[in-house]
Amino acid sequence: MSDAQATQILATSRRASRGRRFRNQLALQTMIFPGLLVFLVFEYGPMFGLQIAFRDYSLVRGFFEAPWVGFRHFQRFLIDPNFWTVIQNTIGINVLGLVLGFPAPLMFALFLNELRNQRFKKFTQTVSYLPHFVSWVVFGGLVINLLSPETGAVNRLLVMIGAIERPIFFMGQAQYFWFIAVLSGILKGIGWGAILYLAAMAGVDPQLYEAAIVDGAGRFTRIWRITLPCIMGTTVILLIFQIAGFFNTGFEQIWVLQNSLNVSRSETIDTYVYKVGLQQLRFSYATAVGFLRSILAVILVMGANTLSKKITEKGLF
Amino acid sequence: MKKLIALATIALLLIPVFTVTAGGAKEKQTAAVVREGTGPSWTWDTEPVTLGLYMHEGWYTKRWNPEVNIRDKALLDATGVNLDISMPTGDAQERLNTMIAGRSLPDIVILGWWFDQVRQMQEAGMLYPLNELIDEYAPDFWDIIPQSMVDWYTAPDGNWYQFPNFFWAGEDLERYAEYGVGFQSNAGMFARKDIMDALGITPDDFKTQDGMVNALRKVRGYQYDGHPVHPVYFGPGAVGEFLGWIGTGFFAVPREDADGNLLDMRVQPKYLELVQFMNRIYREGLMSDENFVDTRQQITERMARGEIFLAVMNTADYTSGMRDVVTADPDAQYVWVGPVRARDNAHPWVNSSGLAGWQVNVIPRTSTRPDRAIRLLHYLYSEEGQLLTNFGVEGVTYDMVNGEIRTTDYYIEQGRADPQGTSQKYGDGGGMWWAHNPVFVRALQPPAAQIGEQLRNAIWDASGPYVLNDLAWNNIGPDGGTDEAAIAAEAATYWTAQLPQMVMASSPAEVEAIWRDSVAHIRRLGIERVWEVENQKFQRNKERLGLRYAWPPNQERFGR
Amino acid sequence: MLKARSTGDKIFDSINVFGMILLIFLTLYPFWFVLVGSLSQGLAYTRARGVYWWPVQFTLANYEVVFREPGIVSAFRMTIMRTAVGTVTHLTVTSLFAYAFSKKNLAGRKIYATIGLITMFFSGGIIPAYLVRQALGLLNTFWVLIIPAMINFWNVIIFRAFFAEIPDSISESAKIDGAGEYRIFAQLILPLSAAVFAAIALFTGVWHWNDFFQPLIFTTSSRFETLPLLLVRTIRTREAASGMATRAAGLGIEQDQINPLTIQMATMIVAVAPILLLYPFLQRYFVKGIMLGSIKG
Repeated sequence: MSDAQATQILATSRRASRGRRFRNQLALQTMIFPGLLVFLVFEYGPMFGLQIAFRDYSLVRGFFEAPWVGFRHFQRFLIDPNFWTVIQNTIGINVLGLVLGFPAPLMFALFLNELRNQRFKKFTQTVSYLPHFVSWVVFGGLVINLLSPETGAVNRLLVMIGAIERPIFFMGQAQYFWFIAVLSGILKGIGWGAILYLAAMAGVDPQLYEAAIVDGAGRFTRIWRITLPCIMGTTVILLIFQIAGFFNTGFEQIWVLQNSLNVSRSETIDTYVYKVGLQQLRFSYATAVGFLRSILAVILVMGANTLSKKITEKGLF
Repeated sequence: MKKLIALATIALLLIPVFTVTAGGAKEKQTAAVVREGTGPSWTWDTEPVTLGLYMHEGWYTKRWNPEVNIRDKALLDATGVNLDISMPTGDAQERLNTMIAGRSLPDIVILGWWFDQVRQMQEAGMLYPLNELIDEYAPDFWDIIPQSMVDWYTAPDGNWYQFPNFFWAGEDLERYAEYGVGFQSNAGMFARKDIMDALGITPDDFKTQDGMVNALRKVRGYQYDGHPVHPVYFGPGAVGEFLGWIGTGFFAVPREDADGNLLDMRVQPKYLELVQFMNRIYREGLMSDENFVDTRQQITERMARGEIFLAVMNTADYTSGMRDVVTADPDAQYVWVGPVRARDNAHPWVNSSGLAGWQVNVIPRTSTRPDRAIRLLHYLYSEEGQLLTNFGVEGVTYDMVNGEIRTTDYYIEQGRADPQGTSQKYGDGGGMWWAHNPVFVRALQPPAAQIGEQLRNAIWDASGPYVLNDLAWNNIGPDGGTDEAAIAAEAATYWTAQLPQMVMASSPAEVEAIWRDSVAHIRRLGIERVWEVENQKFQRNKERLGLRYAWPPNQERFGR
Repeated sequence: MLKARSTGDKIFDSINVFGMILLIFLTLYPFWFVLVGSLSQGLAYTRARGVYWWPVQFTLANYEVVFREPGIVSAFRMTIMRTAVGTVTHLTVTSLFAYAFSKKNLAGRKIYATIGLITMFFSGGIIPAYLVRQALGLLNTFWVLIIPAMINFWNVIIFRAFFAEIPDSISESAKIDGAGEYRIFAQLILPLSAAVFAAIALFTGVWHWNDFFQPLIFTTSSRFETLPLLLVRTIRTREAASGMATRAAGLGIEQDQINPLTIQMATMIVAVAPILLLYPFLQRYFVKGIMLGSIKG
């Protein structure tokens, strides 16, 4: 029997027996039910709101009375002279985030896992969470302070070690913005982002390490051959999650760090749609842009998932 | 797949259920009008009732607490009204938007008149006409309402929906003329007197561009408290305020043409002159790069540390900065200077601090007790209510001496001993400016006690001669949700990003080149369509005010 | 395990420890900065040219202001309740869903996957969400903060990934012994996944603790005012009140001598402290997870 035949037979029997399977799995199905209900009511219930992307909605007009306008709001965004700048910045920050931001918590978790002193390890882990609890308003203010050409510690340090001659106006020069955004994001999120990796590492069988030590495997070999493969599933999932957010930038962070000098590099889809959409009560426009983003995200995630399943045999599910 | 469709169908079936019930109307339980005695309307029915009040300001904190706060208690005693106060947080407009969409608005909603939501609610018939409510439930309220308020706020449909807070009524200005209450502006230009004296600079030096630059040059390198002083600082982001409404006012950039049509200041040649002047200040190194990125908080801190010589910014925003620096060094006082003028030496015309008021009170149709809501407004706008909300309870927080308010010693002592506790017990708890009448309050209010406030008030007073009656320019922006609103927002976003480029340009010629490009760009965006809409609204405003021309130079030339 | 460490190992360890100390400094510092500010006298803080290491004119006045904010006690109570109930219900509903979903032969698995996936990318927006809650009569109830947050598909995916690592043989043998799915889940799967439960509990708990958007939009009564909502309000008010009100009015609003920034910092510490104090308990679960993890295999 060829593989194709086997699949076909399986599929037929699967369809025929699905009802029976459902009855046999009553217990499992009741586990699904509460969550499913919440999804249907609170996620799908409001989805009638999506259609206003194709209508001219206003607060008082109602979701089903607003006139249809087809793709006008999509067009408006796509032909906007600022479109390319905004897309470029959104993608730029996210590519940098993928290259620098994604590996950071993973590396942190791997190295943390290698610490011998358990107390020190715990302490480091706890401290690394702290910035997550500091709001962006304050954290951003601190970043701006530290980068100030007049009083900032970063400039003083750089001048002191002779890396630069005169202080650099980091916040005022647009070309630094992507790095400032990504690096401050890493600093704020590195510990928080490592939580799941550490949880995954907690499940690695210590016997594997012991066996490897007996075989004379070094530190890096053990990380490479044991730890990484064991947390591959988690890593792949988090990578795909990161890709899912490819057309988003944290609104609050960008908003706090943005100023009139760096706006050419700091205007992202989020901040722009806020300025020309939501602040002007253009809900249809904002919904249309959101819709566009969602579709792109779905395509990216599906692509990443398929690719990942081919390469690592792991995916979202 | 079939199941998916089935589920999707279920979800779709649920939709009408949600939306139909969402609009469910509430039972109205308006009490019949009971007129007892001859007192004002709010005394006719003092049966306890709770009214919902929503203040659309994210930083508003007033909590209703008649058990502790004596002002709340007095309000409750007078009107029988308990308030259930709610507000959004930060910039979040969602709270108001969801309430409008869900038709679940409380009894009184207070929001800035420029919010498009007011217009939308009004046009959708979601608000009670105040004129009808007053006729029905509080006819004596008419006796104290200035006609100019009704005229200005009457909607195109002939009804009156919005009751303003902080409305400067001409009638009141006349009535209280003897108290010397006059218009003011927040367009501020103030400098440190101690430094001026030390360097031989006078306030008049700032009246010309060359004079101002020369004065600032003298300050370059000057040290205060062991640190260099910035010759000039502009408001947050440097360009927004100065090139938006402060400098354009000082330079009298025209806002109306000879035919009475609205002009966009950004595209006027005089605007270019203003930008070139700022560029000159920048090129001479008189302003700091960091000015472009500093927030209000940071500028306040600089001011408090004594780092700023000349401040060109919103006066009201920097009271605490002025106060903090003078608290530490009594000589470090800010005084009004200039203002700087265009080369043609035209009289400066700056925006008023809001003649049409600040926020408006509206009573939504979903209110269950519009009768009590309108009578509450009546009480609040009456002298009795104004005294209570602004000065507290007579004999406790203030005394009336020869028709003037005197804060009691008791209140001052309590405030010194325990500021927060006193504020909670005797104060306005973060704001009771509902239906506030600025002219009445200013006429009666005792002089400021703190030096910071005194300095600020003096600066405000000095702005008086330059205040433009800017009512005609109020509320002329395109309606929210229209294409014109989108164009206006896109153009504004673009313009804001261009301004620093202009100011930081290497030569006046370069400034002009960028400015010309930018003007061309917003024209390409379709800014002329915005002008058309704005001009229509501008003309309608003038009609309402009975004016042919609103721009003072035009009035001088062609008459009003 | 007591083996002599090689030189390479020692070098690696030293560099690692050094790197971690640097990271501790970098991540601890922002928090320290906030703490220092919260303990400084407001005016002195403003006038000082950068307060980085130690408070200027040490004072607890900022905390006094925060704790005397009316409603803070009830806000604390509300937040604790919301966080506790919200976390427990989320963990229950999401993990059960994920467990069933981790079974490859689950009937309707593809449909559930599609339904879940769509929720990750599309949402109807805030106004429709409000209308749905309004129609269900959930507005102004405690449960509006809980029920819609009982599941999200991101966490389902994470749970499922961890459940999938547990060998099928474990549940198969339990099944032969006659155990039902719920018992297998509670007695076998749960203990083996303590680490991921702790992680998701931390995410969810912190989210519930910090979120102010839900109570802001879906409740109007101050009864449901949670700590972050109250504190965000305190912060914003102090920043803006005097300026905004006087801008329009020229009315002298009472001004206190306390700096908005230092109060804001005290506020932040008050909001975060309970979570930080709670955290060691959660971390113990991590350790337990490690121990339990070692049993399997």
